[in-house]
Amino acid sequence: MLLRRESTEERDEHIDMTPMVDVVFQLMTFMLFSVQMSGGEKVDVPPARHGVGVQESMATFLTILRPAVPGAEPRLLLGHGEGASVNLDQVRKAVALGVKDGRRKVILQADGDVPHGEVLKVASAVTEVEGVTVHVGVQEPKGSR
Amino acid sequence: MANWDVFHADRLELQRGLDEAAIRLAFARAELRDDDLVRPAGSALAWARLADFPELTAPPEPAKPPETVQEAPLARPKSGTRSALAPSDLEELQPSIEEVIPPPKTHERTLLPNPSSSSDVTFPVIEIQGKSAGPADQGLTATGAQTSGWAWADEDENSDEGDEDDQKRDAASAEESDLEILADEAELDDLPKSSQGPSPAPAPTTRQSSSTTSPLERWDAGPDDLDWNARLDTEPSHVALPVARAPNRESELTAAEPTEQPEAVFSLSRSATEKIEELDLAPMVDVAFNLVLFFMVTATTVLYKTLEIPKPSGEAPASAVAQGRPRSLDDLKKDYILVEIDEGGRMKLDREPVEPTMSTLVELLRKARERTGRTTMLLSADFATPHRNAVLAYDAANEIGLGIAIARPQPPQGPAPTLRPTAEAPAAKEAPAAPNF
Repeated sequence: MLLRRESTEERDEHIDMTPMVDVVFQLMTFMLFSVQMSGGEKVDVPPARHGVGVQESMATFLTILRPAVPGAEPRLLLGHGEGASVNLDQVRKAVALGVKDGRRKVILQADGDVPHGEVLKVASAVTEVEGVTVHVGVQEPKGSR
Repeated sequence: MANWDVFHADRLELQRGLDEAAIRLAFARAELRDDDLVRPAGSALAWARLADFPELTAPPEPAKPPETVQEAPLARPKSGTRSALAPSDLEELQPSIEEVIPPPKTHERTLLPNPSSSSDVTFPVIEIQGKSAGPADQGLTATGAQTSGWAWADEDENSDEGDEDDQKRDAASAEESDLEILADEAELDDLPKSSQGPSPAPAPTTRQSSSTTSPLERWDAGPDDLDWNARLDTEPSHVALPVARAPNRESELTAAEPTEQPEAVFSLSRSATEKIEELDLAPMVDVAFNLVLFFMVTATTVLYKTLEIPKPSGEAPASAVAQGRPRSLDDLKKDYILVEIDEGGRMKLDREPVEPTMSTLVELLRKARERTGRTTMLLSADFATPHRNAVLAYDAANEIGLGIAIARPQPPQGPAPTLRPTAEAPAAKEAPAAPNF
């Protein structure tokens, strides 16, 4: 009897790793989906049903934010949602460098409230670089999520 | 002079027929030890330790006459130890002995049961009927009961342990562990005594009664003792040496017996077989692989949803340049489904106002395509209209598969568009959202 009891106690000493592994898997799954969904949330881009997915490593990102005060110029940033403010000449140079690195797509992450003419002005400046295609960033309509 | 068989406990060798002088000389040369076993040559008596025969371990005295050699052990007090000998006596007998042989090791001498015995051979012998005694144990067989009162020097723990080891070796039970001895001791009263072969059972009995009974009473056959009569017919029976244990062990066991659980002894023995704890690395490896997969997937599959738009070219079409004037919206309406968006977000489709919703715009675009066969939408949005309105028109065109053309709007202030001639300014006022390709 004593021997049997001791063997049972030894078996109980081991820590069951299964729940911990399950929790880790759940956390990883949650983070996997949350990271994908947060891809375009840095800028309040307009919603659209249709669109194509572009990998981050294959494109040069430009962000156009609405002006902080009404009537001011929109802010043009080099990057996705954050980065240094640039003018159109700097945008052309950055896009040209991206084309040399194989990033032939330019994604304009424009806020939905930015004037349409400002977006087209930046797009016209970008298209002066040979071999680029222009995309405007959109997001899934809120009702479809 | 009696001859002896000597068993070297360290080498496990047996030497037969050694006389006392040879044994003494070998003992003085440290070729024999206290733990080596001796017995009368040619006899089947039990082995006894050499240290129990002081006459065999005495320093050799080759120069002395034979009678002096025989008298020397007798002259010494039987109950005394070797250290009780006066060194001056040895010097008188053999003044130069210390120069030749180092002084013998001192050890406790075993108390002899009968100090007045005339025999110089003293080792425990059980009287066996029907068997001829050896040449040197004529007196021993008669005093078997007396010699059975063998007393061990309790304070000599080392020699006692050596006895125990030797006895185990003789009994071919070297694998017996100390645990089993403890178990036998704890359950001594419960276990039936075996009458076959050597058994350490008489030893505890002797020790337990040694303090209260006389040597003769110790060997009285009790219910737990061996049946000596059963051995009468057996062929050379040999009696095992009594098991001598450390004096403190028994006292500790007896003192702890009322409080100590029998299972505790077994639990200690079981804990001796420890299992090697190994860390199970399989879950950790699983987690590591999943983390690697997670980072690989997230680093390459972060996709950004986009709408591809055509280049809002600043160059005019060749036909317009050739004509020297820009094409008006009415001209373009023949080739394109014209969608206009004003500054406030109001929409017109082919110059007809429409509700700026996705479903309405898609339905009207589909009808316009089916009616006129135009497959491209021309978006002419005001410069200041919000970007989301233009994206709505893009999305509607993509819904039904229409091509998209974008007319670059005129800025509300600033220089005139490059392709717009100054002479055509009034016409431009009429159509402020005229597209330029």
